Amino acid sequence: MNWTRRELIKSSLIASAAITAGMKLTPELEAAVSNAATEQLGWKWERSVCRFCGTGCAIQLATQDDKIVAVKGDPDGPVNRGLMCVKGYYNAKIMYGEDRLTEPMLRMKNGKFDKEGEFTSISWEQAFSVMAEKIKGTLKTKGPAGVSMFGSGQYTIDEGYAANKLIKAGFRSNSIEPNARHCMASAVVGFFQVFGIDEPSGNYDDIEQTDSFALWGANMAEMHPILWTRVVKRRLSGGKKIKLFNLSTYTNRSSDLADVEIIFKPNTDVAIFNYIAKYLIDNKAVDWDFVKKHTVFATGPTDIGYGLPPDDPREHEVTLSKNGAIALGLGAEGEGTKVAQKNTSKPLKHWAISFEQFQKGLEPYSLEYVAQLAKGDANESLSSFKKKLVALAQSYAEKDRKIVSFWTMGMNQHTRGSWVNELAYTVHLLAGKQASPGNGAFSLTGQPSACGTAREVGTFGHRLPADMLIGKPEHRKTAEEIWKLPQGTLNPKPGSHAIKMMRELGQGKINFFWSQVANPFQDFPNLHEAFKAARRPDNFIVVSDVYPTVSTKVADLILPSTMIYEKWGGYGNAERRTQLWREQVPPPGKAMGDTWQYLELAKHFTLEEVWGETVATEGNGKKLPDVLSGALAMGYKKSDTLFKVLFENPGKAYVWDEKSALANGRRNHIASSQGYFVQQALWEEYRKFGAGHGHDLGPFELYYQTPGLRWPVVNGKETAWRYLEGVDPYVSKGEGVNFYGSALKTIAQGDLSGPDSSKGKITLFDSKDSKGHIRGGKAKIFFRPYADPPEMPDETYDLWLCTGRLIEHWHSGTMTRRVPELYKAAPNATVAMHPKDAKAKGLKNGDLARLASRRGEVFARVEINGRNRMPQGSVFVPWFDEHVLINKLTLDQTCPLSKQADYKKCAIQITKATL
Amino acid sequence: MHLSALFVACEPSAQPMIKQSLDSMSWAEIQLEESGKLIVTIEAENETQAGHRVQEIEEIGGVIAAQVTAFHSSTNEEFLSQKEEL
Repeated sequence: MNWTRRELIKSSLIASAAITAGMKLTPELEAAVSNAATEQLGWKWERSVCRFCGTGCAIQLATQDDKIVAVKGDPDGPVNRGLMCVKGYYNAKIMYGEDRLTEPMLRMKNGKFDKEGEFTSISWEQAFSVMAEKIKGTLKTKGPAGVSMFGSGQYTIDEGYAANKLIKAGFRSNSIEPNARHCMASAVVGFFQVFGIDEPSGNYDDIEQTDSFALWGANMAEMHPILWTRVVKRRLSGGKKIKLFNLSTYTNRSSDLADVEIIFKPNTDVAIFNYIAKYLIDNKAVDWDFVKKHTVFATGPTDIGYGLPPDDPREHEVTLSKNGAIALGLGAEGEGTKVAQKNTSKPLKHWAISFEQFQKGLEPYSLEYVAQLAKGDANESLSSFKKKLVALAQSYAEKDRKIVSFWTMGMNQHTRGSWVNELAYTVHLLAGKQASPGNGAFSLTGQPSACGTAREVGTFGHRLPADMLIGKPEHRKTAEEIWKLPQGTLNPKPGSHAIKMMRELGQGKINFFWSQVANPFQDFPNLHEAFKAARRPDNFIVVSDVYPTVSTKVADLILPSTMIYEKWGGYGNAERRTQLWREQVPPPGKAMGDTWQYLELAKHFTLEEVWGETVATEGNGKKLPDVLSGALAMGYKKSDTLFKVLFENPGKAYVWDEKSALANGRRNHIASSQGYFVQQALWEEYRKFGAGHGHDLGPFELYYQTPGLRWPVVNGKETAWRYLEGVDPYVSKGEGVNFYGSALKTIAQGDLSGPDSSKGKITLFDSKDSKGHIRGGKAKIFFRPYADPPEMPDETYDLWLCTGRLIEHWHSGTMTRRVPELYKAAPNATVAMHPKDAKAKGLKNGDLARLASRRGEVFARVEINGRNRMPQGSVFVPWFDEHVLINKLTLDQTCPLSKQADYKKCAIQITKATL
Repeated sequence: MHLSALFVACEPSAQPMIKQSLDSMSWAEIQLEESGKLIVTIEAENETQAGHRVQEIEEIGGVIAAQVTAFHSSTNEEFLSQKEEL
């Protein structure tokens, strides 16, 4: 072909699009995508993964001269099938912002670290020396829990795994949390409580197989655009039967396609689920065969507080509103009842109840009660709202109708987030519409590896890889065996959850805080307290990042990290799909991968310095025993470094060979500097944790032959639907369905008022096979009552505030705000208001408003009738903008079970700003 | 210079009108066509402009979805200087 370069590029793009669309290529286009044409261009295409949301789209990157020159959706990618959303554009661009961090910087004065000093460039060696000194000092004064790490659902799998191993096995601290605590923790608790194992039974293929979609607090049109494309396609081409419900506290872009939009008041989704459950029973739509065979009914304590600081009066006593009293079965006359919050320390406790008790719990949730409680738009009539609730309930009830429920932050960031997650399964299980193609409650994730890293690797204070828990002696033993640690090395006390960790940083119980792949000082609620914590003179804050952020501003030491395509790595998406990629381009300047940073820091610690008897952690921690003698017995020396023991010894058998087929001509800056194939070594060790108990992963190289595999991966084969006979290898012939998750499978029995020890405990499975696998495992159908949130609008703070994201900006805007055009497109966060509310405050579109809560104030421009259209009484502010730090206003309330913060509701006031 | 290839899914009955709208957009070019499917390339100064242009196409009556499937980005100078025959 005689093409100009321009024509060839254009033709190759057209051909890619045509392949995606399933269209026939002309001979010219066939030629344009031939290997010869690619060679002519000098491009090298390779499969990778999108950097952004939790969808997990496979993309193809073309590199030339160490730069990414083109991106396309991977037609072989089962998630996106060649498509990319507008965020796909930025995968390359985000790497080339002008202010990339390229060297370590320390606050210094007179050549030394000084908390009040100026940021000064230093070498990596100096950086690690300062960090090691600070960590050793903290270990001596505050004990292991005084050393903390804060990561995210954007950690690659090897990064999260290495960080987890370094802090838990090396420093013997469990103070590691990801920002996924603010994102997914309620979903995790829901999975554990109901199924005994984390992550969904279904997958994205349910979209093409279902008849109905119910979005419960998930604006998929903006947050999961590619999945939304699949939903749209199903909705428009699936015939008249297909229905879409959008449940939200305001009108968003997902409402455009909805058959029914249900605008409800914050927190009342709990009541709506209960109404549906009651409807299913009242209308004889319960699938009793399924329920009797595969489930039990359960409930737990209701006096559990709101995860506020322990000295907050609302953690001790709650005065019931009329609605709150009815919800608990006390009737309207229960209004004003004072309920002592006796179970704030045991919110996870639960017990089996009879169906009759379950039904009794649901009794108050009549259509009348729920409609008046939940109706969120003052301008909608009650009868219109009731009709919508009935239509929704009918869709769950209709025997031959399949239904999928999707949710993200609306249900997870919720003072009853774990409960409302459980209730999603309650209605699906009652209807027998769970764990079969086209049916199921499915928790969508917001971050690319919230599942793959944060949850599966277990970068939480209480977790170990593959659903194992720090608090369980047998799980610590397994981890100590895999990690080749002396017995007793791991600290049995779980680390503090994220919100508590920040409080402890403020109290000086934690002195060393290392943020990685995150921006905590923009993301935490009640930010004033976090700023104060960071600037405490005895605290040392390290931030590893790629760009300057609010967090680097408050840091003492900044470390330059690599972006996704500058390292080998892996992500796991919301449907259990794990995808790995190779390093495509070299990191800029002195920037280095986070895994490299952990390994290098580990070289600064000898066993003698970290594995002797520890001091007691301030507060309630105990001393950890000396394990050095055990280490010597295992052949280690006191002078061995943590690098040698934790990383090099177990990893060096994996040889890094640049010329191997696996390397595919790509570099690996981390392996080259460490002398072995670090990522493969970490992967192969990591997958030992999950093998043989439902978390199986395949060998490292397998993932380079495919656009991802959904675990459990047994004998090289993925599992599309879990718990289902014929699809899931952990389900035996004849079982049909087996909810085999092993956690929380033996529970007490009782009634709505509490457990009854005289009844003894029940086991929620029939038997265990010779391998210890559960047979006839049962899921739990929970009853959970509605509860008012702790802060609701009143005369002074008269508006609900909801925070969230926009399509243009990823999370706190660290990357997307560096793309100049994007910055211009959405430079600042606005406050979306109902026109009547704005008018009442003397505000019009574009006016500057002052927003204040009991905790702080910010200023933002008013937006009326924009993309998010608010009901009266509610406002929305996105949190991406460091100039509108909306989290100065939010309340550090959490779901008491999951400890996930509720950013979706607090009370604020708005006035016209006077400049 | 930013060059994108889009897959535009549309109602077959609206296809002639959609094509007319696309023809009126100086930066868009229809490349391939089947019933209910169009492959369109768009040129833009940068990603944001490209994003807006995708949205503009999505807003044409009868368009079900416009999805970017591949793009190439380079500076104007690089792009224009690469006119040599390969």
